[in-house]
Amino acid sequence: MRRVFFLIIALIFSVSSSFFFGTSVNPLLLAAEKKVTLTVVVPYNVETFLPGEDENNNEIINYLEEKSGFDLKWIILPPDQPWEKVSMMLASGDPPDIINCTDRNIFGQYLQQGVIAPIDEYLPNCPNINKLVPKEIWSAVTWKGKRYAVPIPQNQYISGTNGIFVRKDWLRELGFKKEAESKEPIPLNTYYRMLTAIKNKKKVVPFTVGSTGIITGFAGAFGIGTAYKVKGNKIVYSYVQPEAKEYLTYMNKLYKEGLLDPEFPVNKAGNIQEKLVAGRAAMAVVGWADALPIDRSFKEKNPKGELGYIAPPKGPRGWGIANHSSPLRTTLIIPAQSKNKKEAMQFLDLMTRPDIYNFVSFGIEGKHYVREKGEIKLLPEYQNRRWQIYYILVDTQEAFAVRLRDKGFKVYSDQVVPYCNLYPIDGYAPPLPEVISVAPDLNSLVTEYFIRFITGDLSLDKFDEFVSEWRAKGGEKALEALNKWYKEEYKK
Amino acid sequence: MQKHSVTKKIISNYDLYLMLLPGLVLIIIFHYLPMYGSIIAFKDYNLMEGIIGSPWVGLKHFDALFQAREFHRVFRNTLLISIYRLIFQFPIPIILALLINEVSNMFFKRTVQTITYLPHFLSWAVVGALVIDLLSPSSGLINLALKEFGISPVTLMDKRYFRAIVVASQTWKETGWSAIIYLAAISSIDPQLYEAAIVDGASKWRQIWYITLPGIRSTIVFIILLRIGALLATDVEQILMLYNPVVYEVGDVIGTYVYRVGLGQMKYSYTTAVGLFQSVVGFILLVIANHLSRRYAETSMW
Repeated sequence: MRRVFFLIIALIFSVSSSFFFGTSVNPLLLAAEKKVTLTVVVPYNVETFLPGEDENNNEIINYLEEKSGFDLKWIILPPDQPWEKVSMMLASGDPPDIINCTDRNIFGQYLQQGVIAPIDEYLPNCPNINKLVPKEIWSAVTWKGKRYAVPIPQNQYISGTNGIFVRKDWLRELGFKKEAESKEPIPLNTYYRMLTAIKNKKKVVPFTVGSTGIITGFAGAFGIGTAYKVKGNKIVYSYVQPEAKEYLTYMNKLYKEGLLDPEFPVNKAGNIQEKLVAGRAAMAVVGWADALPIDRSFKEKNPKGELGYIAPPKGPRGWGIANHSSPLRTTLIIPAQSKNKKEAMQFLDLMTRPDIYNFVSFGIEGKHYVREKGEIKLLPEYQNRRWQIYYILVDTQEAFAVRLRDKGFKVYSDQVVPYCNLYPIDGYAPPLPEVISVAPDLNSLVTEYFIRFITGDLSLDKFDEFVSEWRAKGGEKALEALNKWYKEEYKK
Repeated sequence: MQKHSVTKKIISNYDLYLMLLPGLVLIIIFHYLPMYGSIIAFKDYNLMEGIIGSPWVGLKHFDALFQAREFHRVFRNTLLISIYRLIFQFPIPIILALLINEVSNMFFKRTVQTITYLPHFLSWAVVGALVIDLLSPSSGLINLALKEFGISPVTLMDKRYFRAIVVASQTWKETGWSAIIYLAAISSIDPQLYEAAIVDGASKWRQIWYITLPGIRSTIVFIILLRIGALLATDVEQILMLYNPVVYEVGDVIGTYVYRVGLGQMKYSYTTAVGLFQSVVGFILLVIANHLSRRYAETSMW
């Protein structure tokens, strides 16, 4: 893919010199009566359009065109290497007008490369945006005093996804009736007794997780649920703290005693699902989106069994499950080279107007839905709407909840969301280059070392080696930059 | 005088040269022009400034590459896995081709050939899942069998076996397919040689040793040369499927490292530097191998 990218860059170079200067536009052609065309780049779409319709011709986009007075052109990114396509569009001198940038690292990179236009001068004319975006999240897109994107606030159903999914029928059978129903976090010791009982009585894998070093729920019990956290008066990197060592010691004990899946480092998402459904594992970390299909196929095979979420463990440092890595759901950005910045902002402001996003999400009252006692009830016609690539720009809590209910996910998400109480502090920071450039590297370092510590492949005496690796990879510099922001901007 | 005859030759065979042209153009456009992009390995590539406008940074990215903790590790792993493949995997398709060639029952021959080359068409996602399943410590077929014999399990989390598993699974997948080229080479050997050998009373074994193998020698050397040129390029998808953090130490190769670290980070210059390094080393190895082969085996690519 990388090669293809360069090849195309090279081709563009060899055939067009206008690349450097941008295509010259005759202002006379942009006379007032001609409609402005706005191109909007959105992530991959999983829906198939109805026959005769496509992303640029259907009920929703036609409505948006009519309301906005713009010609709209939606561009859907491919599922693989989507951002390479965007980079290519930006480098080609024919940039889109709006990009729905869901990846925070990419946003940071584009910002550092000077690709994104600041939007401050347009914001006074955008009442709907100002109303929708809460004050505290503007900081996440502010760089050197200027705002570089419209941040769309996170949706609590999306941000809290993981929970501990378990065979409740077995728990009751083994005498853990209270724990199976408990809404309060369950002490770590009780968890330990549950897992031991399952191992001895049921002879299955007690607890299985994906190939990760940070195990949902248990990390929270030791106070390392998120990578960065506030400790005392400053931000620290949780995984190099003494409590991380405590956590690793505990998880290593679970692993040695066979309570944690012996093959968890090689687990793929499908394995966990398969182990639960086949009754080969009793407990697993599962997100609510996966819980629905797992539960469905489980019930087909075991009509008498019961899978469900239980409360997370409570340990020496409290409890909790990490919320999404960012308080932002997505950032809507406008490339610096766009020729229609003002119009693009005008359009985004329209998209954030309640009647417009309600239309995108629900359709027309009476045709697609009805309101009964304040609750939205969907009508059969609703299923014909292919709205995903439109609501992805601006979405609301209410719309999301309705969709969750409609698809059957809400039963599961409602059990998970209350425990996702850990908010990563770095999510509120602007995209600091020191932090963003090392983040993927640090993540893979933590995964590698933590899995090896947990499996006992590497002795915990080598924890200091891990800490110095973290330092060598720029971890400490990232922390300094974060603390500077925390002290100088966030605390104010 | 000679020059004149070359021109004449070209003119008289102009139609053949004309047929060569599209291929040449394709290679120039798709293989030579993009090399120009490699200069960003020496620059800090910036989207806004483009390839030309981005600032020169000298060997900065190569410095970063050689100093990365993982570089030493991934370089060693890449080289070792490739060498293992060259030693253990390379002869097997030749043996398979020789065996298939000796089979006289046409139906059996075709069936075996088809069955052995089918795995080539499966993607690594499928084969990888098969391998993971077979080697699962709790439910894998291989480990259940080993357990019966009282042998400790072979898993993907075991550093001792990881490279062997990589080479073995690749052998299973690619042997039949790689044998095709040898079969083609064997079929081009003049049957009169065999007839003469039979008349002289040579056994099957002698025929293979003195006629078939020398007959496909240039093909074998050619394939070895290509393999050596690609010594630093491993099958990234395969290792991505099979490895896990516990075996990074023995299984992480250049391709997977670039994938993990470079993906989504837009480190275009850095990844280009890695690619350039890989190509330069491959090129040097190829030139050396070709030279040696011309000297000692009397066949070479140029």
